[in-house]
Amino acid sequence: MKSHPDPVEERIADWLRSAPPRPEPSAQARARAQAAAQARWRELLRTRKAASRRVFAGWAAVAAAAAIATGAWLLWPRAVEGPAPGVVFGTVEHLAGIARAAQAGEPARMLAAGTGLVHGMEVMTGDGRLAAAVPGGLSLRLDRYTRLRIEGSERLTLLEGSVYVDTGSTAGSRRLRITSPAGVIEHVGTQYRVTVRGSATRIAVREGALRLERRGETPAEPLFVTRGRQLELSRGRDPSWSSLSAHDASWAWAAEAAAPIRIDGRSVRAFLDWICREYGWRWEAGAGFEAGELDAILLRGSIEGLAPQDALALVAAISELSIALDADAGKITVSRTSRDTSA
Amino acid sequence: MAQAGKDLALARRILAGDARAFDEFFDACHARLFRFALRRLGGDRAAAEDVAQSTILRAIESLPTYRGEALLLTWLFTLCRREIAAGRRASRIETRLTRVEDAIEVRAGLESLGGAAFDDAERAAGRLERAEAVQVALDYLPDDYATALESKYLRDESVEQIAARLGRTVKATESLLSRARETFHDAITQLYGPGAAHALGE
Repeated sequence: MKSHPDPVEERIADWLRSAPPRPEPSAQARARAQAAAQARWRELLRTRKAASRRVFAGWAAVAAAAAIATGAWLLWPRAVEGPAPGVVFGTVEHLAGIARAAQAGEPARMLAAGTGLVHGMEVMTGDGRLAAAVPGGLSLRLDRYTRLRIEGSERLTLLEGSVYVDTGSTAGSRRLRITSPAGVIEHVGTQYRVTVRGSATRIAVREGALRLERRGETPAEPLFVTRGRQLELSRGRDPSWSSLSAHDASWAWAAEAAAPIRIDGRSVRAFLDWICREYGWRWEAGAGFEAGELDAILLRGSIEGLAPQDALALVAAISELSIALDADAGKITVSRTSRDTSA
Repeated sequence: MAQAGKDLALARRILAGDARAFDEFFDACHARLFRFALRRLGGDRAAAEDVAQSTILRAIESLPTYRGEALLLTWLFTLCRREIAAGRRASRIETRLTRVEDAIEVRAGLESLGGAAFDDAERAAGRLERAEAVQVALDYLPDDYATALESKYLRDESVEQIAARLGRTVKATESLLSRARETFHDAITQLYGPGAAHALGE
């Protein structure tokens, strides 16, 4: 005999069938949240581990120093873990659009050029880009839609988006460790970019090299990424390597985020060195022309707001030189104008 | 083990560094927090995604303080309400509307699925559309209950298919579906109060 359906069950079924499927967050938002949550969780685990070590060390010290006056122990200085509030990491040098920053327990506030970025601060760029100057000659750029937390004077956590680091042409003296879902990245004097999209981390090196201490890898052998190489890491996938030229278009945002050089009173050579570093180009003197001559030619005016090709054209006009860019080869050739040559 | 005990155990595993526990936690809460925020942010998906993410980050930071006194989901929804309120303060947007599921009586009922009931059924029913009520109720159910009900009634899957999806036997799945229907009925009752019987056509 066939059983009759339960009327209550039927009504419940009617209710359930009357509703559309529950809305779901986008896959991108889910991946972004998961990566950020994992980064925060790992950070929490590290902090707890360090705290537990401190507790253990503290008790060991108490046991060993039982004979010593308790007051002396209480006065003994102890290491402070985590960010030290108020300590300046760097300064906002240039802003294109809007960026905000927040510290724990405080509302986010708008950033402006000249604002100090302090330990414990979370910086969010939204649809703006930001360049920060860090003591030691290091330049840090944040692309649009990037979130970054300043953990300490040498430690950042990239929660999402893309950062570009230029340690300066004089040598990588400033140490910096960037934590990403893939692991901890440390440079060896370089220009490089780290991008976090969901659980994927992409690292590209324009100059120099960097070391990645991978998370969850056994044995924990670091990976080295060298100039012109790009490494992409996603959970559960093998590392993917590719080549990337120093003047690839994907670097352009970092130059656009940078504070433009003030050319007024500077030499053509200084301008060329700057623009080549920012755009990954190289320059050379054309036939019959001495590179040293460029030191003596001083510029007047400003290139602020100009695209790089326009800046080159302006400098060429001011200096009465021929400055030709071969964009495919990433090469600038400087020579006298044909008028000068013929004269 | 009662749900609160399971939740506390899950929190402790996460704090002990168990990656599987972390994934379980994230999978169980992210979409629910998104929908919870979505309903309170006028359907603004981008804002709801941001709030869901910031709530999870806040929850991870606060996890060492979680004592299992409330269900993990209840605790997360409380954090989510705070995140939304903080966002509104930051954007200087004030809202005086209270959602039915946020009325304190309804919250207590939904969170316990057996406690106090909302006593203004007509107003509640008038402000909460039926389709939305179903979605709210499903979000308050244990995850496997909601999955089983959606699989059976929205996707018309057989009990065998649901059993395979949940990794259970057919018999255990039938039993699960039965409990899920009862709990769903209770959830609707909490949302609609005394008017639930009428709303459910009983």
